[in-house]
Amino acid sequence: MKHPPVIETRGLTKYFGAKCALRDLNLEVPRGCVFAFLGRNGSGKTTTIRMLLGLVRQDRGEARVLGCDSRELTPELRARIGYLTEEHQVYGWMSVRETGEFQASFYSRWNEKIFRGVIGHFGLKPEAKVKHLSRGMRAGLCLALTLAPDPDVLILDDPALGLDPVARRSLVESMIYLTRRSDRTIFFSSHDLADVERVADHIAVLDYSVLRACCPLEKFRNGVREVRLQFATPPPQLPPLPGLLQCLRTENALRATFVNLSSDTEQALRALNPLTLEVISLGLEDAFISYLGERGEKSFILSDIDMEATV
Amino acid sequence: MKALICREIREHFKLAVIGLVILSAMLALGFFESRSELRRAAAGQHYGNPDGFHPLVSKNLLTQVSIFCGLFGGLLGWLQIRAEKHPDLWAFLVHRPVPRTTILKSKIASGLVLYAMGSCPPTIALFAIAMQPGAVAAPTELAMTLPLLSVVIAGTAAYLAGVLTALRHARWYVSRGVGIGVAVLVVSAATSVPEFWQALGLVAVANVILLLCVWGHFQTGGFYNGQPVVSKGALILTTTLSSVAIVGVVLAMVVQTIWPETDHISTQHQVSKKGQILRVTTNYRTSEAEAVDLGGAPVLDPLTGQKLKGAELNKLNAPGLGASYQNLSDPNERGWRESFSSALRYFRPWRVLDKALWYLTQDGKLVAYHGPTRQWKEQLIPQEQPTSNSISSGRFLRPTRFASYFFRPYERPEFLASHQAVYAVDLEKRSLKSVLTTSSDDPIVDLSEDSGYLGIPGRPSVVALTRGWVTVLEITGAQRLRTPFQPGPPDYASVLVHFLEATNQYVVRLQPDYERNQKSEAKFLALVQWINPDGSTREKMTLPDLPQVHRSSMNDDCVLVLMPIVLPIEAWDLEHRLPQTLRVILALICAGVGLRLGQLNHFSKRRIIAWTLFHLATGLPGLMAFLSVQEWPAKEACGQCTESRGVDMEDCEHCGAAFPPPQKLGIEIFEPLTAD
Repeated sequence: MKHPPVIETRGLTKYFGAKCALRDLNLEVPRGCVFAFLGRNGSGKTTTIRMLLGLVRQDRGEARVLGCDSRELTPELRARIGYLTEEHQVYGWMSVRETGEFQASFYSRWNEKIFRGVIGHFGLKPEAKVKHLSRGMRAGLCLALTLAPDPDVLILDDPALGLDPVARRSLVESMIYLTRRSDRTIFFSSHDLADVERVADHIAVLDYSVLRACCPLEKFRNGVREVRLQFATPPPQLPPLPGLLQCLRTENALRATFVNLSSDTEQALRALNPLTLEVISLGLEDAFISYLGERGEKSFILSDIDMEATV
Repeated sequence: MKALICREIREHFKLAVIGLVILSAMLALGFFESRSELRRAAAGQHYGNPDGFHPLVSKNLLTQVSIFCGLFGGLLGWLQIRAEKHPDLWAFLVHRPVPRTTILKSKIASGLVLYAMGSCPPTIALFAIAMQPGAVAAPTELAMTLPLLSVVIAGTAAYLAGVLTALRHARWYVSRGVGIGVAVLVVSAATSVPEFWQALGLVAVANVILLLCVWGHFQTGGFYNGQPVVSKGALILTTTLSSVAIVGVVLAMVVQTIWPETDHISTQHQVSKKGQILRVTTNYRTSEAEAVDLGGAPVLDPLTGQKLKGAELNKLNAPGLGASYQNLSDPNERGWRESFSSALRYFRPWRVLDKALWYLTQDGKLVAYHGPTRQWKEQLIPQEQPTSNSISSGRFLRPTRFASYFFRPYERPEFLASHQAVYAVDLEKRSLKSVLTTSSDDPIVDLSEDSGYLGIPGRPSVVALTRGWVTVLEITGAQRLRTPFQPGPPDYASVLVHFLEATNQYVVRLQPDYERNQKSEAKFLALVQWINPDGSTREKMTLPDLPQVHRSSMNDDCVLVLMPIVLPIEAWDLEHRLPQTLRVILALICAGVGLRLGQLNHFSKRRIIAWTLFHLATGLPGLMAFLSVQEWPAKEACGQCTESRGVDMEDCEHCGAAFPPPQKLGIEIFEPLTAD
């Protein structure tokens, strides 16, 4: 039986003043997947997450979580949605144990074992005051608070932001080993593509507030290719080619990154008469950087640079 | 909810403790200040206003506690929300399986508990200490706790205003504080309304309005859009009230700066020492006065032949003593009743003798408190037989001009009246000597308070007023004048007696009851009688009704122009025709502006009509409220018709086109996602 999407948005749009923070987002997150929501800073990830939770009102469009309009999430539905914020804010004056007890009083499905397991994993002492915890420890506490209610949906807003590599690894491990449940959906935003590569099934990429990619991780990785061409002389200018992301020209080489590289494009490149032509698959990080990096052609040919400087 | 309340209380407990310490210190200082004032009074060193005699009704202390409660409540409410206003912490607060209303309820409940923790213990302690015999050398009764209580209760409005201010998102930072205007109004009115129940009612109404505003903002995270209609209405009302206050205050300041001196002129009849009726016009700004006789001829200086002005005119006036008929059904209601927060409602310091302070209490007794020990000492009450009718006996009348009382501890002679008699009071002998007795069907209704002003040389006198007679008494008890109070109550309520030293005559002026005269369109005119020494009437005349030559100031006019039409500030009379007309024009302009803004932002017809009516009724303050609550959507040029369209509507208001999808760049990677 096909399950309805756990998270669904239709034309979701948000403005802050005259600035469009998110434009026309159409998204479906199926049940049970680990969904990475990617994009550069300010591309609208956090805004989207806050709209999904009904914390910010959209200007246009609709967002549904667990089948309910996100502006009208009932307490019962909220109990099924775990949310971890990017800055891991909790009450500093409470101890770790008090924070757990406070949070537990609201959730009927609170699992103390999970809570203790996660704080143990992060080496947190129950009597320690939250304000005295390091950022990584606080992230661990927040993760414990998010996981212990045993939610059906986990929404994590850049959970590893600002953590050192060790703390980040701890967090990711906790996410992998403690959160995986066949029917649990994890929707998380992140800038750490190694972590994304390790845990995510699907990704969505926002580029300047617009959704440009939404597909399985593999599809994205395979969709972005680099073509390396060697020439005997300085390489010629590239003609307009579909899916061209970036092009780097050096004295006798040309490297171009393409999305959905087609045989027609490849044919057009061969028509430039290169000595060699090589198509290379990229890792997620390189693919992502190419995908969201500055588009167009860059030249490292000295005569071109001199020309540009003169102009 | 319990967990939320406990958390809130623990988090902000420190603030409650700080409040408690400050208020305790404030009340302790106030208490000892009153004690020292009473000590000075008992030593005969205090003349003037007895406002600070009792710590429970001390005007200074009440003002200080009002300011404290306003600031403490407001700060507590503001911090309670502000501490969690960080978006992530806010999410941690509201994203939990509890309705937002429950979260708000627990916040408000805990906030009020904290407020009570900070403000109630010191207040109750002051009540307990001040009510102890020997704590204060002045009459003390339970009702005297009400003013402080009302101030403390009014602080809850400031608390809610603080919560609202912290919650609100607004384009104009000032408009976040819309609740503060209402809170200031409530806190300052809490002790200036006449009765405690009115203060409670005011606080209750304000709190309901502010609570609705807070509730609406909590639902939307501080935004106007998306709130329930009822909380939107409450916010608009709050904002309008605040705007009225802002417009009034700002305008008064501006006008006062530009036109600092505005004439305030009034005309009254006065009696000269020769018994002549003069029409005196006084400019209260310049303190200049001009007098003409009833024929309109100016009063001239007999020596110089010049017009008499200002202070020279005052020398012409015959001294007078007044008394007023008041309602007899409830002796406590005689005269205008002072506010429940005024010390003079409960007692009036009367004389000082042998370090004892004698008070006239509101239940008609003369009671003495020993200054150094602060203990109750003794009391004096008239020994009278109960009457068959409803007139009370065995108690002194409360003077009608209680509120304007100025304490003069050694003033003599000492007269007090009951309904049955006028007494010369000899405190040294603790005796009451009856100098005038009346029958039960002609009870005494008032006695002039001051005795030296009639100007009978060497014979201080008072005027006693019964239902049927006006009597002038000497301190010895000798009657100087007895003339019928005719026409008397209820149409004529007050009497002014002047003594003309040159001719040994009296001039008696009977003034109509103000309220009855207003209702009957001023058909009663003031009556003047010239009475010979033998009591026969020499002459009678009515005084022509004087048009109230009250030239309203520029400030008044400007305030009138800018106030909402729904506020019936001034009559539509000749004097106010211009500002009233301008007020209507301004309301029409505001309605026009509101209408145009509604059209530009594509409000529904119903919404436009409602706002237009609102602007017509409320004028400029309403328009200010409208502008400060509205959250205007961003606009973009429509891709189809190029007109500017709101981004919050699915379809273009002009051409009906939907927003186009984002432009494809040819780099999109999409693949439908499937569930496991």
